[in-house]
Amino acid sequence: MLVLTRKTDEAIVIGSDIEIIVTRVDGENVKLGIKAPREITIYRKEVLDQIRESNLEAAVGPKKPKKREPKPAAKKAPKPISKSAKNLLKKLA
Amino acid sequence: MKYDTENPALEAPTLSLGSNEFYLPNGLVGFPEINHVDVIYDEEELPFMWLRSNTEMDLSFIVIQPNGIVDDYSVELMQADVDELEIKNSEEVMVLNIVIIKNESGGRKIFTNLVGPIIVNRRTGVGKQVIIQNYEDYSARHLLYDESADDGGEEA
Repeated sequence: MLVLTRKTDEAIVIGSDIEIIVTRVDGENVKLGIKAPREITIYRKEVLDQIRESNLEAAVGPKKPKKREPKPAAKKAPKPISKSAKNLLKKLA
Repeated sequence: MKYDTENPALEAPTLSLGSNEFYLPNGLVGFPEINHVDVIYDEEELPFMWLRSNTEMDLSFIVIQPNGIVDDYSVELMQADVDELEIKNSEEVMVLNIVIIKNESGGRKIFTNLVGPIIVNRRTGVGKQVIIQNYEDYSARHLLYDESADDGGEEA
């Protein structure tokens, strides 16, 4: 992995059209500005990891891969399911 | 125990009353090889449907369309995803949320991933598992149903 040291307002360029600027450093928080073409999707890695874990857990079939690490806890308390949905689920029980 | 995900004998229904085939160029997150998929369902099992891989024949996922099942769920797509899927209006979009069914000691719990739905353009037959723009409002493990908390049909 390439590791670079940058100061506030300094940037790095990836390829010909992606630029990442350090806009602010505050303790352990680093604020980044990202300039990229609009077809490039930018995700927070932990969100992508959550989805990967969720997919692994949801996969049904003999080829289900082993879970690798525990999932982070959900951020919000779950809302109760609506009555109509509950009735549908009941039919399946 | 039809939906016991721990049961290796579980199989997707072979008889499909409805069928929707589409293409996922990037697969699912963690499953890049799942490109050609089919959504099949049995009317008896709705709202649960099966997303079945046509290439990895043994692999499937249980999915729902969230409308009417998940309250207050609104999907805001990132512009990059709208462009990539060539979405022109909301009518051509199909939203599928992957479901996790866990059999725990207190009873069955059913979760769904609201953060990373599969968005399908019905017109082009191309889909993608995205992270929604408003992902901070939702959980990747939203509790849909908890058998142990079920008091007999009354709204909790």
